[in-house]
Amino acid sequence: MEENNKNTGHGMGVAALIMGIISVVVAFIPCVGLLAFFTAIVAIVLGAIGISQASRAESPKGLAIGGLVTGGLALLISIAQVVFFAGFSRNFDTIGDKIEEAFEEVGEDIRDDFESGDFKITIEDGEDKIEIEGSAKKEDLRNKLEKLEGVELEQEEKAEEKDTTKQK
Amino acid sequence: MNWNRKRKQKKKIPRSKNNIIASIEGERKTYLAINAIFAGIIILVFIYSGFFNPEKSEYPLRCIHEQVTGEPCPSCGLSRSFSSIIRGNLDQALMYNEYGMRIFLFFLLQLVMRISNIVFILRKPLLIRNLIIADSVIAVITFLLAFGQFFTYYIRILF
Repeated sequence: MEENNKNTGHGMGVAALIMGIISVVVAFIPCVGLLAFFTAIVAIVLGAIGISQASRAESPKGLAIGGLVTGGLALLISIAQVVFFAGFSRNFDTIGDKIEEAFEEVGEDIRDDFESGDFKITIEDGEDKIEIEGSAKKEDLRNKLEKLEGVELEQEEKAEEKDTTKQK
Repeated sequence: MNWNRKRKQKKKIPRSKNNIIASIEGERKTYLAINAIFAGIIILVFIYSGFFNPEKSEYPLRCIHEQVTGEPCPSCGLSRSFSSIIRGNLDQALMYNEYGMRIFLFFLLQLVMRISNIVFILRKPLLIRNLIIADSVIAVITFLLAFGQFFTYYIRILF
């Protein structure tokens, strides 16, 4: 009878300790760390039952406490992963919308730039500052092209005139 | 007050030789059972690693991190690494997971320790307490050496 009292909660304590140690090892492996959440809970439950049985029968409860502690540690590590995955999945739903918004904003900016057609490039190096301003408006570009063509035509005409005077 | 009295009464009871022997016998049985269970689990891990071919990647356990985030975690490729080590392809094992060798050595050392502890405790049962202390210290140190690099992963995902 006394022997039975001494062993009360002993089996539970051994089971809790084994589950606790397995949970800690599993929890430390990132790939399967989440699974430790369940084994750790089992270890904690077994440890708690072991402690209550042992304290009722006044038998040693070291093993059950060991199981409870290792289970608790494993639970903390796996909760870290649960928190991370929960946060990730919550953000995951909004990631698509955010990307869409960003694309729309960039598209609008590009459209605005093309419509205004003005650009300004600033290069700064300490006290030196260079600013280049220009315009990429369709009309301005056409005018520039016409001007350039006009200059070319004039130059060609002048060259032809020179040739004719030389020949004479 | 009652509790203090009970405690004092307990302390006064002298432990007979038979009691000490019974206590050591109980601890020995428990320790033997724990060692046997862990040795069995490690052997199962090795059988699992040896059963699957690393090149075919038919492992039933998939990385949860990779499935959720789409990115591999530091322990990805550990099963393939173990399978490669068992097949003697050490270079390939390092290629699959850089920590694979260290963790495999931890499990191998644990298996050797469990078996040698069982043999030791069967031969010298009176040294059980010294053995448990030495075993715990060695197990914690080797565990931290093998799995310590995953701490950074948990710090990164938390902060």
